[in-house]
Amino acid sequence: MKIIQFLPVLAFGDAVGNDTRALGRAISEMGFDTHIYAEAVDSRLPRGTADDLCSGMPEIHEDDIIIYHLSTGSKLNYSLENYKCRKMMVYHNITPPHFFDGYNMTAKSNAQYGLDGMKHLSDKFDYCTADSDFNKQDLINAGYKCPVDVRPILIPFEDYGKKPDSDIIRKFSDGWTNIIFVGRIAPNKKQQDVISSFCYYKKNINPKSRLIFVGSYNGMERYYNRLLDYVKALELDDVIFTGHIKFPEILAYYKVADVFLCMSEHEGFCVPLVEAMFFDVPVIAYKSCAVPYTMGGSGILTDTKNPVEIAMLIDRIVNDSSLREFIISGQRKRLEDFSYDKIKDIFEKQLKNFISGGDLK
Amino acid sequence: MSENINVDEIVSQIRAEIKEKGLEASMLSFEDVPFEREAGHAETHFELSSLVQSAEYMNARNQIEPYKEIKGNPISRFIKKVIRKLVKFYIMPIMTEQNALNYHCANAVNQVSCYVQENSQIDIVKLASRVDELELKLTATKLETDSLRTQVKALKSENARLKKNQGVQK
Repeated sequence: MKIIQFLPVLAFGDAVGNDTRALGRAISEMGFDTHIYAEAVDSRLPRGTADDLCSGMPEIHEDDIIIYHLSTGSKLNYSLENYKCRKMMVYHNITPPHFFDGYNMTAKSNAQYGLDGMKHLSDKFDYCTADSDFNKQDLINAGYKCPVDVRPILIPFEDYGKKPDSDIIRKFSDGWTNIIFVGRIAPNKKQQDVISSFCYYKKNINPKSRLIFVGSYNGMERYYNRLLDYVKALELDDVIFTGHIKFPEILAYYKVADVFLCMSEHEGFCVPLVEAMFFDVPVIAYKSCAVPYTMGGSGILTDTKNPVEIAMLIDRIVNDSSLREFIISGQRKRLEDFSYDKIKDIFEKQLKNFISGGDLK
Repeated sequence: MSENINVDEIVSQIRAEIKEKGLEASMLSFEDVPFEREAGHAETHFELSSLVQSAEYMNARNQIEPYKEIKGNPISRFIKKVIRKLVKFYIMPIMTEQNALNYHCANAVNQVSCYVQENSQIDIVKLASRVDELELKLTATKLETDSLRTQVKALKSENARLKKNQGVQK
């Protein structure tokens, strides 16, 4: 028996790619023969990590098992059903298409294609796991009748121990307050709400502060340009968009951050929240989608986007050391739930149960 | 000590302070900032102008030139020229294949574009002749209506005359 993982794109350093590779290692350690196939494989990955599907779909026997990572529109959403073997899905969520309206019609079409595919697959899998309760509910709402369990993403925390970029640490360790948000520049992440909160904070509470958006804006240039125009219209200084940067540079921004501010309205899990926990950066996050699940009662969840309230919360966290300590200790506790060994155990139990055909709840 | 902190209470305090001081963020909203929306194009809706535009682009650029102008200082130009010569045996056949494919792709798009335009022309001609036909019918109907009105008027006056004659005889 072989366990084969499929996914549309195996990218270097993204959450789905990391999860897939980590699962591959875990499956190997369980003693199974395993392989990864993707429609596109990032050339920066070590040779042999995965095979692309350019030369066609691989041969799979009836006693093999397929694990499919669903996160976007792909032909795989319509071709995997041809295999007669048992199938398990790992659902990472698909951004609703309306968020891309007016910004990127290709992304919008692709998201719609993904959602159509997700609905199409509702009766074609034997078992599903979802990154969060929110994702699980998404599957149930789409009509999935098979058992669905939750398993958070496997995060390679050992990577975070690498050396951060010293130039960035030197540049931004100047006594100013650094507010960061890490993640792609994308309309669902509502970076404009982070900007408006920062605007109030900088102009009315702390002029010696800066806002740093760490993340690529490739494919979202219209939204990015609109954010730049918004910053300009607000006559706001010290807002930095890093664009796509190297991993040590990302680590450095976490190191210099005082507050992580997330106003996102659609996340399937939101790995940067966990990264902020890892780097002891207090998190303020808007209570929506999978964010409450990922935070698990830690950090500060807010049900408002009122810039005044958010700005005053930032101020309290920056100046009240006992509150800061309290938040960080809560986040450290939550972080333990995402430890590699814990998540690996959950996955192993789920996989063994699936293989043996045991009770799946 | 820090375990006694109640975050909800802090949020309530902040909200009370905002209310008491009447603090509000009077700033431009994101929606106030105009931006150029990406129009819904051929991916979701058919637009003839978009098809024609793409076809024109393909026609102008479907044949790739194997040689690009080499820029730089004399040394780097020389090195680049040597590299170009070295990879020529590999690049040229690929380029020939790619150009053949591009030619056929452009031809296919042109055919589709012509087909759509011819069909839309046929539609317009058909519709114009249908309009003419209906206008003629309308004129004929109007004439017929006028003639019927004249006949009704004549019959009414004849009827009135007969009634009058009947009254005189009684």
